[in-house]
Amino acid sequence: MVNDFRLVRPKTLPEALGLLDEFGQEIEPVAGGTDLLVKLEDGRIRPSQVMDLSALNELKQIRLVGEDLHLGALVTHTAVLESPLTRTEAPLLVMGCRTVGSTQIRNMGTLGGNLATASPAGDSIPALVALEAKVVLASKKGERTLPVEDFLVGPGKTERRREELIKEIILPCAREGEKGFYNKLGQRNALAISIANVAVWVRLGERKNTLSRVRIAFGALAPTVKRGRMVEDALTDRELDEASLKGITQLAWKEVAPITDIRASAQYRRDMAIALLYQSLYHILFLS
Amino acid sequence: MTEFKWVGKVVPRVDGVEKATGRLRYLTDVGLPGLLHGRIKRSQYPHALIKGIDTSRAEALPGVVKVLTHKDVPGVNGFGIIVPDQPVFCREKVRYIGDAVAGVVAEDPAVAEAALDLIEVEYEPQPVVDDAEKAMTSDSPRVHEKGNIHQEVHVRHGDVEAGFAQADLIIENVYKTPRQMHTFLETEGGLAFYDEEGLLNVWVGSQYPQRDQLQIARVLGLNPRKIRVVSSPTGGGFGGKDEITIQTQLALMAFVTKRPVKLWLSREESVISGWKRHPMTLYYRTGFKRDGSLVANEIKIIGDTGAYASLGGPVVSLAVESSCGPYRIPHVKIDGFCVYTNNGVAGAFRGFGVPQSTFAMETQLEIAREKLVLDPIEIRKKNVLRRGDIAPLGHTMTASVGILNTLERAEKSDLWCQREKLKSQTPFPWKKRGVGVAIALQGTGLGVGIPDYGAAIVELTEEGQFIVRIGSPEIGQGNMTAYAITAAEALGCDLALIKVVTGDTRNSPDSGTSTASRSAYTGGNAILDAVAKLKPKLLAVAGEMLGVDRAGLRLAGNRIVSPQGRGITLAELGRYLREKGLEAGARGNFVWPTADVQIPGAEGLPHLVYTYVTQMALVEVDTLTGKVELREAATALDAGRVLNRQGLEGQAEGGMVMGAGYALMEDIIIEKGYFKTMNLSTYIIPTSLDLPERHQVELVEVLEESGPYGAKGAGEAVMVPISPAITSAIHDAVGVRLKEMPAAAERVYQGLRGEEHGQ
Ligand SMILES: Cc1cc2nc3c(=O)[nH]c(=O)nc-3n(C[C@H](O)[C@H](O)[C@H](O)COP(=O)(O)OP(=O)(O)OC[C@H]3O[C@@H](n4cnc5c(N)ncnc54)[C@H](O)[C@@H]3O)c2cc1C
Repeated sequence: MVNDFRLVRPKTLPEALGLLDEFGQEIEPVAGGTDLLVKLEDGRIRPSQVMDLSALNELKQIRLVGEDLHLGALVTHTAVLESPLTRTEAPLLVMGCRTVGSTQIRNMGTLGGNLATASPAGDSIPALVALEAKVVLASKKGERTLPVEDFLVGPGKTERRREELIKEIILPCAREGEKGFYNKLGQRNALAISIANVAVWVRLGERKNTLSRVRIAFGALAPTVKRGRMVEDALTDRELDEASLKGITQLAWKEVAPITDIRASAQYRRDMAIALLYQSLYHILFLS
Repeated sequence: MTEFKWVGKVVPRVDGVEKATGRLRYLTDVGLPGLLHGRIKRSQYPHALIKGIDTSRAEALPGVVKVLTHKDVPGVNGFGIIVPDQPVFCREKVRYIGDAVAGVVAEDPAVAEAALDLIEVEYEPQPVVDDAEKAMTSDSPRVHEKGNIHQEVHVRHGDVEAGFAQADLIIENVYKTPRQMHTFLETEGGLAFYDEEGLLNVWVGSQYPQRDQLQIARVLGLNPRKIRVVSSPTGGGFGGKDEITIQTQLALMAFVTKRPVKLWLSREESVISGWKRHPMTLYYRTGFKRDGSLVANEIKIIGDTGAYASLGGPVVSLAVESSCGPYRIPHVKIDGFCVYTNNGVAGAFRGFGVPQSTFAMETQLEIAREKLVLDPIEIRKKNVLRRGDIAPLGHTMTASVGILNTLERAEKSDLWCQREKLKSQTPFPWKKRGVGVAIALQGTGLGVGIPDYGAAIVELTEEGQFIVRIGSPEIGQGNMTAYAITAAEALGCDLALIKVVTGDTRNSPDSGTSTASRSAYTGGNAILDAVAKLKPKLLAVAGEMLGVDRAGLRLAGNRIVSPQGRGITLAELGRYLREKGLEAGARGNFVWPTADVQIPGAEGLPHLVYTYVTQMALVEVDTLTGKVELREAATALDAGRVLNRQGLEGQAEGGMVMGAGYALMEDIIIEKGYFKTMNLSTYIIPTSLDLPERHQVELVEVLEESGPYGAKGAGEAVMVPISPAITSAIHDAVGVRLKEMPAAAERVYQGLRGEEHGQ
């Protein structure tokens, strides 16, 4: 049951950061509320203050800055799907956000919220990790920037300090010759938490069926979303056909450390790291 | 062929506009002045003795009006349709994690909730009985004193060993089925209050208000006439609101406090305390001749009914009845056991035992068909029951039997005709497609040994409307529309003139449940009887008013007219009847026909009137992940005459979806008596993105003489064979034969990895 709390609604980022500086320990920011309300409802958290971020319009922008795309923390999954900028500059993120929940959840849920929740199964995160995105954290004292991969500490745990807000996410724009694929396996096709997922971002090599740069991130397969560097290396600058792809993707097995829960066993999840990676690369190399 | 004006036509749902616009509120959204809020304190253990209950701290909490325990129950502290073995509030023992130990009534829901934590219950945990088969052994701990086997059913027909001696092929397997949840939109809840007349009103989502009234009366030790139960037409039931849910606790709360009370379960509470589909283990040994004909079937079925009986006995009985499918099998030996455990509670659920045994039997048939290299349609045609046959339970199939007709129609469906083409259209190399077919029969009504009766009152008002009163409630099935159609057709008046009143113990006669695919058939027959009594009376009075002979008079639209074109309106007739103090209504009734034999010890076995259905599935399996998607479905249904066309198609579509969810993903997981799936985040049902865009529904009208205009029931059969059709389609696609549902990706993947490959 939801406890009583004070709701504050700052109008500007400095005001919000001021409040956090003052009440950091007791205050819980809320963006779309799709994660927070669930936790409030089942009593997992009982904050004395909730800070509604929805008036902070400066955090809702999607901007092109040089070679980078800046996405405000309050950008919703729906905004990612609908923005012409993300569609051309960050197609992998679009694929990830498209699989989040349902239309209603995507309309409310934000990138900042997905990242702050830091679920190993969060569907926007593998794209961010594979794209080597950075997260900008702001506090009254200033800003700091971390790679998303390092921002994640464990299930539900991040490097965010209580007095900080996620301000934005920065990722490099897609370049000529780059392609990606996001492959999510859930118990059904909507409103499903990933049993396992993988995001793949590659730069096609000059020779046919080769990749000159490969970035892979696995979701729901380790305590946090996890890069697959070994298999990335093994796939780089090598001529790939169905058979070699089958062989190399087996390495995914060594990249992951999944758990058993109500959705699937650890053994199955580990096998799915291979299957989902194989399918993703097959799509990239042979189907598109 | 008879020309109908309303029967079988597409008409707007009579309750459609108010539901679609939201004018009709969900009952649990309704408030009342001075409303109190109830909450239930549930068990902490799946199985424990209660050593003490201390409510003093809860009572002392400001805002708490009353804390209730077993001590406050004035009548019998128990409910249950067959045996009242479930306590309203537990006294000496808890038998499942959802068991109610105490109730709180408070001014405010938050206070009521807080008070629950202040109730102190001292328990002595007992060993948990979590496996139905082990529970049957003599050294198992007991859930109930009388032992863990609640009921047994034994069918012997022919000579099963002689049958096997004739068999060329014997197939032997064990099947397991999941614990499906009804997942109605509105969880169990309601309001109770005293009205101006001093009646204790209980408004609740219910599938049988009259029986609720009796069960509440027994608990309160009160004359049932002092209680009025009204069923809410919102929220859905699917069998999960057939038995008492919160009625007795809610009624007690208002009875004790004398104030209006609302009791409404959260989704989590609904999950742990509510009824489920019985998980079953089914042992099959089936004998075939080389040509595919069935000669013998030896079956043992164990149903896990959880902590209390409810309708567990009849559910297992129906599983037994349909365990041989709609097939002629001369030699059978079937044993069914309904067993108590500490695994939640199981009870009525659309299909009522039939989905479980149909999955097993249809899979047996498919395995044999593959070995004998026979066509799936041909082997079924060879074996299906025809009218006049002796069924495996030994009774004669004297009513209409349309299973063959549904097979013939399904065979002509696009899915089946184009199956090779559809199967070849796989988008990626790791996807494989397959098709499957399965058939089923579902008994309608309650069967031999359970009195099954319906009543209806039809009356003409002064406004010139006909009011049709039938107790069997509408909670989404569409029976109100079927009643209106039946009445309008019989009377010969406009559909818009019919007003249907259901589900109210004070304003509609007891017509039995809205369950067992029975309400349109039963209520429809009662309406026809009422109209047959009423109409001549009305015409006679109209003749008197017009000064003409009644013989030529007929009802048309909103008038009664003579051949010469003279006439009066129904409103004029209605007013005249009132003025003269004449009877403006008539009561009709109907008693179900029953089979010529009865299976001893089983409530309701066998049935006489059955619904028949063939369903087909096209699935796509991801061979790398095991994930299965239903791509297309087809249903050919013999529910007799189509009364309400859209309603019937809606049932077929919804039923297919429910059966697909059962086959592919739905399962409430309980470990050592504790629920692992607590809400809709882990209990997975299909969404629109998991369902095929195309579902061809064919209505095969094999008329049933005993039904209204030849109609039978439809609500349940439509969810049954789609599940084995899906699992057979999986086998067709990738060679994995599932003997356990649901076909979750991981299970199919394990099959693909080898253990069970091929069969
Ligand atoms: C039915 C349902 C289905 C879902 N399905 C999916 C799914 O398929 N895939 C998936 O990945 N997720 C899913 N989710 C989870 C959720 O929708 C996403 O994680 C979403 O992106 C969260 O964003 P939000 O804005 O709603 O977060 P909130 O609930 O508003 O916040 C979540 C957490 O992040 C913190 N926070 C939010 N914004 C900031 C910020 N700017 N700075 C610092 N901290 C912040 C909050 O304090 C809170 O602790 C689902 C949720 C529901 C209820």
